Amino acid sequence: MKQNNKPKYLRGQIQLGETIAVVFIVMILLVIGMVFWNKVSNSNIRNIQSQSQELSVIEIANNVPELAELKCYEASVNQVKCLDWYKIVAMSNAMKNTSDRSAFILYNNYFKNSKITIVKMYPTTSGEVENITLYDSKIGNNTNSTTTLLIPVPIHIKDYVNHQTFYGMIIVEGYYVG
Amino acid sequence: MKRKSKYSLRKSGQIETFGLAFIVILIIVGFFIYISFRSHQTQDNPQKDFTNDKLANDFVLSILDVSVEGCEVFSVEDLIKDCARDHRIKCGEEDSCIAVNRSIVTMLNQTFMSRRIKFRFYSSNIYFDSKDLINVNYLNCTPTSRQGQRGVATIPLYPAPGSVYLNINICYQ
Repeated sequence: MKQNNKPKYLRGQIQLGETIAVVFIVMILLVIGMVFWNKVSNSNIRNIQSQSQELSVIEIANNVPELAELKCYEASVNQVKCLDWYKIVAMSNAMKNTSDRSAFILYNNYFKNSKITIVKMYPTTSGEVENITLYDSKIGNNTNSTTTLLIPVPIHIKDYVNHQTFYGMIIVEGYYVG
Repeated sequence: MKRKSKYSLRKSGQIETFGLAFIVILIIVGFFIYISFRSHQTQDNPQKDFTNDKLANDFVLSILDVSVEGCEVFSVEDLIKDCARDHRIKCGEEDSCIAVNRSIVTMLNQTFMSRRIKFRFYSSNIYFDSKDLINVNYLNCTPTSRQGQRGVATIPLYPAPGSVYLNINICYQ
């Protein structure tokens, strides 16, 4: 009788090898999937963060033209898209007052990490635009921040002393790290 | 017991392989569709939308009260009314229509052109030399372009009938 020399465990070994290979491939696929998912969720978090920063600057840009401290009033009626030049100057001086920081601290709750500039653009007396910084959080301790967002809002500025109205802009800049 | 022939075993193995390949191809195709869908999705940009909205709406409302350079006692609105009605006001040597056109173009320049924002500014119901008083198309923003935010200011010509409209359309880049 002819003896069969083939080992009987060969087929089982192949199946075990297949199982190991399948498990290995599945694990590689899982790792790739996790890396991909991690990247997608990280970019989503970054998007949400930048959108929330944008929204906070938008909120400030929306609020500044409506501040009663700056708006024009004629016969106790407030004027649309109008700021009073002398109120702007007074507020700017109050914010820059280094001996009394109470105005800056009060408005810091509303304006947070931002810079608000009022620009007088037209008509110009010397041919150059006139800027006045209303609020700048860099005046405080926030020296490491970087500007990332800028929103211009058109307005008109009334000079009630010289009876002149200027076209201008409120420039709101958001300071954010990174 | 009847055993499966070598041929039938090989055939069923081939079918399994084809099925696996088919599933893998399906997964890859699905993945590419997902990636292309994600890349074509326009991301929300609240800052740009808000800025364009504010620029369009607030610009037309803000310029009306502004004093015109060269005749500071009159506002843009006064000169527009005069240009549409009776041409009585003179700013130096200039007619009210020319003066108001010049002042609005200067403000458009400072606001939109300096930021390279595509826009179309035009007036309705007011004519100078039998043409619209103002019609500025910047960076090929025409009525057929993809329109974005818009703003309109209405200037009633009372006691004369009718109103003048100042329109601005911002075009998408």
